[in-house]
Amino acid sequence: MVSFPILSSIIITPLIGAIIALFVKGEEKAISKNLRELALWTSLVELVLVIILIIQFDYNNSAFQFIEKKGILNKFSISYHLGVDAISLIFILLTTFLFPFCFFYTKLSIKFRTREFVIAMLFLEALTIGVFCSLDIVLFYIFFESLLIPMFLIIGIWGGKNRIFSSFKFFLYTLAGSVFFLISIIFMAYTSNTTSIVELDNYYFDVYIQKWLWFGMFLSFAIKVPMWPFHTWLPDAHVEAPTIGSMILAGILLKVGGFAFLRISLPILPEASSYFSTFVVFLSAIAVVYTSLVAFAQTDIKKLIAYSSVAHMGYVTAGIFSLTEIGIQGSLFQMISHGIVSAGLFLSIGILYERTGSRILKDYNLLIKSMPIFSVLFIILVLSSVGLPGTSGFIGELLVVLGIFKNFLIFGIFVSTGIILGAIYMMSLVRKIIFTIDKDIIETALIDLKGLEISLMLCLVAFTLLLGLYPNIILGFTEISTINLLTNFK
Amino acid sequence: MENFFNPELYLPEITIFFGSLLCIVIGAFSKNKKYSKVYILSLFTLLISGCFILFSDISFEGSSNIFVNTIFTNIVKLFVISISIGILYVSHGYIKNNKLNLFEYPILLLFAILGMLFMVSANDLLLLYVSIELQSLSLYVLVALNRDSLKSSEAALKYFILGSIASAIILYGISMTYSITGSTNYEVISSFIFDKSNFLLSSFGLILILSGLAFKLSAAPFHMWTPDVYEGAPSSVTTILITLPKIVVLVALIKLLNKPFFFFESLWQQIIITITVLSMAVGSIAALRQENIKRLFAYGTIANIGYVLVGIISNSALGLSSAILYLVIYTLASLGVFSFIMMLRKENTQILKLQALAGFSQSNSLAAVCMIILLLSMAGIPPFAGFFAKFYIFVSAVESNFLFLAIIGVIFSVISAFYYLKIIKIMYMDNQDDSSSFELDNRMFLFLIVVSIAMLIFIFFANDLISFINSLNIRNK
Repeated sequence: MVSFPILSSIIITPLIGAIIALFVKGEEKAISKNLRELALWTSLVELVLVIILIIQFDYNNSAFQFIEKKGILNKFSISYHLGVDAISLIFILLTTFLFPFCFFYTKLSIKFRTREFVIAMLFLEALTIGVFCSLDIVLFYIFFESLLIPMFLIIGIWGGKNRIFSSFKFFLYTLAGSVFFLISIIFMAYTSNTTSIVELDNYYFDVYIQKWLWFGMFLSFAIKVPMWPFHTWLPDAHVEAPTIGSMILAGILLKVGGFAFLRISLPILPEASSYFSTFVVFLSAIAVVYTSLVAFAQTDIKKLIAYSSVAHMGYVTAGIFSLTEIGIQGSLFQMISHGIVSAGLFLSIGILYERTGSRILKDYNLLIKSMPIFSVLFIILVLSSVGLPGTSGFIGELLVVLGIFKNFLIFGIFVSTGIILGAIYMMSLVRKIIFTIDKDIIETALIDLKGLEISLMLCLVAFTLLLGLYPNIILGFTEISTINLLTNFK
Repeated sequence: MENFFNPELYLPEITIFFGSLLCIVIGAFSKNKKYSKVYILSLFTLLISGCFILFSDISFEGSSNIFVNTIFTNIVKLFVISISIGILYVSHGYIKNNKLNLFEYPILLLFAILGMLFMVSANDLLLLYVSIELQSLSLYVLVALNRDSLKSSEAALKYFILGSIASAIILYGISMTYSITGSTNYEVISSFIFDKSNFLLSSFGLILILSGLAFKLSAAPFHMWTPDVYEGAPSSVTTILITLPKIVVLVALIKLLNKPFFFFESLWQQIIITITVLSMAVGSIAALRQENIKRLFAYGTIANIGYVLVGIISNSALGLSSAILYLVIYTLASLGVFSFIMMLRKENTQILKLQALAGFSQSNSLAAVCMIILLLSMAGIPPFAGFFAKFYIFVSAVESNFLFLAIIGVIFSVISAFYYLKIIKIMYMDNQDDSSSFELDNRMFLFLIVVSIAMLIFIFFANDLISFINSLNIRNK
């Protein structure tokens, strides 16, 4: 079992599914049904594989496990080098956990060109897992950047009215950041003559060089996260993306940036990371406060959630660069929690949009009357998003704020105001669409959730509550890897 | 000197020469099916000539004073011949469809290839000049192949006039170098001792030769003719223009810079840096608003030549092999793209407007997927071949302390990603305007698929190809 290339098979499984999807034939209706089933089963098999992986994983060991290595290029001995630690493992789990939801929901959301959609999604899954597994920095870059292609197509083909602008903005914005990452990689490889992340962790770069390298990478990761002021592509992308695209984007792709900070910036460039930590926490504090205010002013529900994503990712970056164990644990938890909660929120918006074709706040009122089940589940997700104790959002935000207070008192105050601001705009969203009775407008009479929708949302809500009540599922799992991450800083 | 009449040295060239003479005779005297006969004969000529390189000792190194064969030149010649066979094979349908099946087409191509093969081996400025002229004159006529078309004739005239000026400039530069060194031979010039008294004049000679070659490469600021000529020429000729001359002129440039003008390294580095940056800028920015597919790729070529030249500037072993790698991948991708362009026909007319591709993916999903791969590869997005080409170019720039070139390069590659994405957008995201469907030619389609698979799986063979290119010992010092 040790020599079985389980990581490779996890990466390859969706690709096999995608290839099979090419050859599905039959009548039009049957095709799309079969394709959906195929994708769903592929992603479930994937989930099972990852669960096997987690069972086999030894979380008392901080080193990378399930390592696979095979040379690709002689230059810098670039290789196909995979391995996971607890941090990457929880992201892999999050990815494989969210994809089946998306495929369940495909039936309601994707009305045309199912084949292409399924293939793009399966590729996306494989590439995302590739990012989380790779231990070679060039391989990491290859996965990191090729993620753009399926996402570009998903937004551009199945998106809303202004989809082309958004998909271009998404692609070019992210690409512009990534190329500086590429330059940093080349320079790093040139100086140290290796591209293995494990070896680079132990290589000491001159502090001056570190700062430049760090900055080149920062541009790329900050755009991916996205951090203020590089966040402007996100609202556009979210508004135009199909519901499933938004779920994946908020749920998983944003985490790639945070993960990259943890996997590359912190361990390889520790001096530069601590040098720039104030700067990053400063930007994150602005992000939390500023985007919360912006979110408050939105009239488009999807945009509002998108801005709240930026604010929540602000906690993540602030937590990472607090450079304390508790802060990093908090941001890991926050990323997982946000992955589930934001996917749930975008799913809810998608469900509303299916019914009315509108995302404007004013078009909805008194949903509690017509859609009671939806309203309850939505409110729980919102409460989790604002960090109510008992939900997953609370743990993440609390730990992050504690971490920041340890090192940056003033920014800590700012970031904690963000929690209140978050509550203000999310609660006013709930008040406006669920509880308000507007006499001028006829109340929107909508059909409540149906079987599939209930089970999807219920499942997400259940996980939010589970994580909120037993945070140690994640925190205990990642503790040793986090401590290991910080050894370079002492 | 005793080697001068050694026929073994010129075997491939001699084959092509006599083959093309035979083609002329057949073309002139046969009564019917002139084109088909000449076409088949020229394919055979190329095949035989390629076999001579392949099956005679490929590492055969021989030289006369003015003509040098090394492994590197042999491989380049083989590559040129196989690419031209590919072009002849692929463009067959296009030529037939557009009634360009004149027997002159293969013959002129043979003459151009003859010039190219000589250029690759040239070890003398005069031979270089003559071979450039042989190649260019044949190409001028080829551009005018569609003589009833106003655009084609205009393009040919433009190409001819500007090209002749460029050739004249090269000749002028050669004469200046000759006036200082008293020779046109590479070896003699490279052993000549330049000093302060003759530095200015000889560097003028170098600059003039460089400008002329930059014209042939269509590198900015000598690129003005490129879009017009590429647009006006028949697509099969554009395919030739976009690939073959670029390869051979670049190889000639590498030899020129490393042998006779090695002394001026710091000078020509400065010049080529300017050319590179301008090419990348002009190519990337001007292509953004093109509506015609061929014009768009003409500007794309200019940008790509800019990237290749980055590898030449660093002038290390790594730099040169990455330039060659880039050139190989670029050539293959361009062949794929142009077989796609030649393939696009609706209601018996060639499609050249980008917007006419709207909704292409719905009717022809396989071709559209192939194009996605090719275009993203050209844009340098991993995991396709183009990414590795750019990666090596940037690595060579960083290793030779030209970090700023790598940074400029990546910025322009983001800009150029826009227009490649634009084509994908039109194919995938726009809705078809009319209901007429594309008539796809099988040969070109097959070629498109093969090339895009090559771009896709390049990652598995990258290492072997790169070690192979490294083993060619390009600088040959």
